[in-house]
Amino acid sequence: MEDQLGALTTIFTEVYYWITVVFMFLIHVGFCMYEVGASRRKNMMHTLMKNTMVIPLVTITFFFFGWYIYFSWHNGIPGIIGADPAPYGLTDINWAAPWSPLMGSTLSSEGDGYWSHINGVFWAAFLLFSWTAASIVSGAVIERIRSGAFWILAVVIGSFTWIIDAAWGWHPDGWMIRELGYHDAYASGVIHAIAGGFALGVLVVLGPRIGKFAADGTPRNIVPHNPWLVTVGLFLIYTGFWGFYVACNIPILDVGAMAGMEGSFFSTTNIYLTPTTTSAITFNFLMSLSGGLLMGYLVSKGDAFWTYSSGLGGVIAASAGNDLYHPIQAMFVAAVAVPIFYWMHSWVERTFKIDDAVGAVAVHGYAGVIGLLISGFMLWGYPASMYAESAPGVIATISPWGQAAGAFIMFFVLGFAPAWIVSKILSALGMLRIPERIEVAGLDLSEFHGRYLDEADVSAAEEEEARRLGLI
Amino acid sequence: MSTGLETWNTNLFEVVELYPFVGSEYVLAFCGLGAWLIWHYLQIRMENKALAEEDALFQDKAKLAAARKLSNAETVAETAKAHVNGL
Repeated sequence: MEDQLGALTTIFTEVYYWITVVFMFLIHVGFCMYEVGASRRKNMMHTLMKNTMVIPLVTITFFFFGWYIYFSWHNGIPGIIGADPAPYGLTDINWAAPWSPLMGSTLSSEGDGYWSHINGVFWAAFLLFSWTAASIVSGAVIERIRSGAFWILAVVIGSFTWIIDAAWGWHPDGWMIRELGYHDAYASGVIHAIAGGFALGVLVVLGPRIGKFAADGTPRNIVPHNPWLVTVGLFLIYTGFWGFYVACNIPILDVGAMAGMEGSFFSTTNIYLTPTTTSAITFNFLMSLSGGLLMGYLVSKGDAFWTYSSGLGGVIAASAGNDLYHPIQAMFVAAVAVPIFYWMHSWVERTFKIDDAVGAVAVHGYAGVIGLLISGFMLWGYPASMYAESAPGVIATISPWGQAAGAFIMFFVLGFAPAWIVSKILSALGMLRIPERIEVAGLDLSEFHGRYLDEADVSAAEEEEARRLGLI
Repeated sequence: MSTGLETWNTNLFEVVELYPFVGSEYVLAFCGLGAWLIWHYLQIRMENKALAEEDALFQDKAKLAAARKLSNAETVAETAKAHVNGL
């Protein structure tokens, strides 16, 4: 990098994303704690390992093909469906293929070094979104899914379907933005609706845990073995979610030329390159969290699990428009969404016998869809992307029908449908569900049999040694 | 002899790759993809074997009852004791 200001901007951006990645790691820590706390004692270690191994598996596959999909598939599915102006083809990129020098340690790129510095941290920010998408599904299916099956499903959503939706609905030039005016600044649909829909698709095939429903179909409450772990886990998810919000922004960008100005205008932008501020999203994150918590407490009559989850669901519902909402609007959007997804969870559970162990389909899926629908009315007529300003008429504006179509694509087309298909295949191969006897006995006993034997051996050896030493 | 860089005393604008064995990227990507797929194969085989063994063990209802007691034990000591006595 030649000049000091350019270097400062580039390296500031690099460090900015790096910090967001570290914060977002807390989402995964939180999900692990939450899921282990929500599982019964006999399934703790299986639950922990199931979620832990999402990290390496989604990381390597996101390196091999996920990042490439984001940049090259934004016109549709190459060779099958596409949209103008570059239909039916992959977009030519030089930094996201796994064999690109820019996917490794490089010093300069085409003279300015920008992508040499940004590519790794930007990839990591998206990767942490990928872990989150897979982790959301992980919680819903605890205590009866085979680890191997879940890890295949985790790769499907973490490195394939979610990043297709990001290419379509998050890339500033994605076809959903151009054609539908889709706007989803902090991922109500792009992460949460798809993950909720995906979880539902798996759950339909997987079936409920043994004992979840009484003979008359009444659902039983399977109590978390450690509510404190659940609580701390959810607090950590809140913390990581702040990192997620700032990771969805670009910290400093000259948007003057894109706005048609003669001079420069430096601003923080959202993922669509339209100006916003970090203050704006901080206001809105906290106000929507508060709206969700307040309403969650009321509708659940003070139930801790649902109050915390409603805080999260409230933020998720407001996220599509939290780059633009007034903070009080964000609070009310969150508050309106909570009773709807709370009621939908109970109705779906009772009616279809869906055993969603942590309410993930409701808190992420339904809340995300509700948020997208509300944003279609709240932001009606706004330009969906900065490219709408530089090329008027090319990109649609935000509308209720565009957001509704987007919600359908996220929840059903890229969420529910692929999950249902892959789960059906795994089920047909006998690879999806833990055998019933082992589910009843406890999953840890099966997979960590040796651990208990070791503990017994060490305990006996310690006693023998203590006697030899005359200690007891 | 060098696997990559030979000197830092050069025009840094012309330095691109810092990693060794430049030119092997396609091979690395192919090997990485293969390693990922092999990992899934080995893991599923391992899991299927473990589950089949446990499932066969629990055909004996007394052992299944003992296992349930063990799984629901409150402490590590209780767990270890239950394991020794029950299985």
